[in-house]
Amino acid sequence: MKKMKKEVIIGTIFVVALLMAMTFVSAISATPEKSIEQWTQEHTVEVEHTTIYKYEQGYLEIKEIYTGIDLEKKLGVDNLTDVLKIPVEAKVAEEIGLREGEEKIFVTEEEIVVTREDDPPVWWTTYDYPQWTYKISGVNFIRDDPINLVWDNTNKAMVKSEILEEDDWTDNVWEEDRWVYDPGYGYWMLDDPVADSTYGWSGRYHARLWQMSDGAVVSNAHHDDPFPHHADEYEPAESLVASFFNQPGDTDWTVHGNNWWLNNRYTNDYGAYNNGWATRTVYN
Amino acid sequence: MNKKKMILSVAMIVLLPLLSALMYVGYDLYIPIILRCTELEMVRRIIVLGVPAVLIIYYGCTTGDKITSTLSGVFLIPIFDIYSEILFELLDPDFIMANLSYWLSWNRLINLTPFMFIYGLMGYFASRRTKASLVVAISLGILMILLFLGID
Repeated sequence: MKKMKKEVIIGTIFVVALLMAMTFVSAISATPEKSIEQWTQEHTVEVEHTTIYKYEQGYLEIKEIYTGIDLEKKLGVDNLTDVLKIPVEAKVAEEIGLREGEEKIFVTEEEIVVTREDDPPVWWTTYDYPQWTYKISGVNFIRDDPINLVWDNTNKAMVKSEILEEDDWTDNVWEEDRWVYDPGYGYWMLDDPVADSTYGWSGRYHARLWQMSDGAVVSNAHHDDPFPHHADEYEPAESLVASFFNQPGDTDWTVHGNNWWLNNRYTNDYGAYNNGWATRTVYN
Repeated sequence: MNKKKMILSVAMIVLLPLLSALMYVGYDLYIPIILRCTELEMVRRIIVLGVPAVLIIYYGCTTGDKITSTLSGVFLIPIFDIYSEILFELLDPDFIMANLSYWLSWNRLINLTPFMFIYGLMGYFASRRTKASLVVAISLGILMILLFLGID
């Protein structure tokens, strides 16, 4: 009986020691998750952005080339190149200032944040919501507009319904896709757009929505200028969309304007300014 | 107007936008997400708007029917809008159909007018059947596609 008791004690000590060893080994071998600041630093590249417009044999070729030492160091590639070829009549080409065989080159110095599908921004290490939207060019994800609206205790369908109650707003929107990475799902998610005009000939307010796996809904809202369509306002669009949830007599929602710090203060090339604070709306 | 011509005219005005709407909605709902990128989106826009433009120009050139080719241009985008909205409503569980005020709003009409005007002119010039008018029609068609390529 005494011998059996001794065996049980030894066995228990052995199991406890084994468990402690396993914990210790996994603790020292785990790579600490990097912060979003570190990730952003690693993926920010200073590039020379060259845009070449060339008209040849009935085709307008628009070539965009990003080059720079940073690209080689951080992404292991010499350049990122996008080519778009459109059939264009000679007369039309002349109207936009291009003759047969002629090319126009524009060069700017830029800083872009670029990554690949399998190396997403690790925003969840620091923030509760994603900070930025991304657009895809070839196999690269390039950082684009900031997230400026978030909703809690609701879902995308409810948020969309509330926005679409407004006059002029539609779910049928012509747009270019944008993406946000969701760590819960483990993949990049496509946006669901709403806008106050399907095409936005004379400019439009446009919001892209994402349903996150943790239940939050996030959005980038902006105003597009008339053709050629660039985001020219962030803050007024954020306020406008937020106002749809803050109408007199509507007690379903509580809007906290510019309430959640997402550290995405930014002014784009067309003067659109985002103050870094997202408006947070909660369904009561 | 004989019966066959009448059917063709109605088909040009009513069914051509349906073809575009089917291609547009089909891409949105059935092209795997993994394949989607800016370049493919541009190809989609060229096809969705280029195919009806080519058909309107071809119809105008071969028949010289000014009324049908002009009207099929004028109503291409407004009817395309209605079809695509209905198709999304039927096929996409996440889609929410716009309310009546959207369809009747000034903002919508103002936004559609340039497209109606340019595509209408394209149809009209195609039906004039001269070399110069054909060049104008093709240029207008390409201009439309370029405008749509810019939507972000």
